[in-house]
Amino acid sequence: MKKRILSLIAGLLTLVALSGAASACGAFLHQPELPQALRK
Amino acid sequence: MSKDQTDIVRYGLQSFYGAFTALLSVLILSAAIGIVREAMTVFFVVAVYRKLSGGAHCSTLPGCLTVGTLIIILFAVIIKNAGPTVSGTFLWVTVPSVIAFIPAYFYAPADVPQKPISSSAQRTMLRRLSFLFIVLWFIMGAYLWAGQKMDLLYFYAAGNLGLLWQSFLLTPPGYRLIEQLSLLFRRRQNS
Repeated sequence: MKKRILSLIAGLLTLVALSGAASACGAFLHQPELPQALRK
Repeated sequence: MSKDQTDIVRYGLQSFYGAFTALLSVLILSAAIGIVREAMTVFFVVAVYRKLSGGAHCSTLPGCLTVGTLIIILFAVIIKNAGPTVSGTFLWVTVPSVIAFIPAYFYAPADVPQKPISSSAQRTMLRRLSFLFIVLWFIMGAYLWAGQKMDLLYFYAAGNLGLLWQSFLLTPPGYRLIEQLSLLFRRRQNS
């Protein structure tokens, strides 16, 4: 159960990361460093 | 998880945390002074247009939170006081969208070193979406003005301030201002 919840959270965060990579930048003034894996 | 997957999840977490703390800080501060609806209108217009057009960014989260929250609260206070007078005027409804089109034409999408936009297809798509956002925003304002929906025009005026601020952040002076403010917060962190 714990493993399933963790993988669900990781999946949701991946979705957030992908939508962040597809947009021009972050919604607010702070922009974290885009990882190399998403720069390709 | 591989290193790439870990990096992606970390980036997602940082993005979520940044947006969540920003929303929370604006919400708490605006609730304390009774301007939640005005502040949220500015916040969402800035956030949506920013996702499409890009623009200047602070390098530290505390700097971003402080500057971003204070600017949004300042705009909400201005609208609370000046909104009832100016929000129904034709000039205030139309001119901000026209002004916003100029920096969008020259600079959108404006990227930052932390997140370069290297794909030309993505650049073209974001540029088109930025123009589309401004055009739809203008049409919405014209529709509200034609119907004299004064209560909604009040919030439209708040959104206009957000649109103008975000447009300014696309320009070189906007980048310089945020860079100066970032330096201020970096010095404080170092001292």
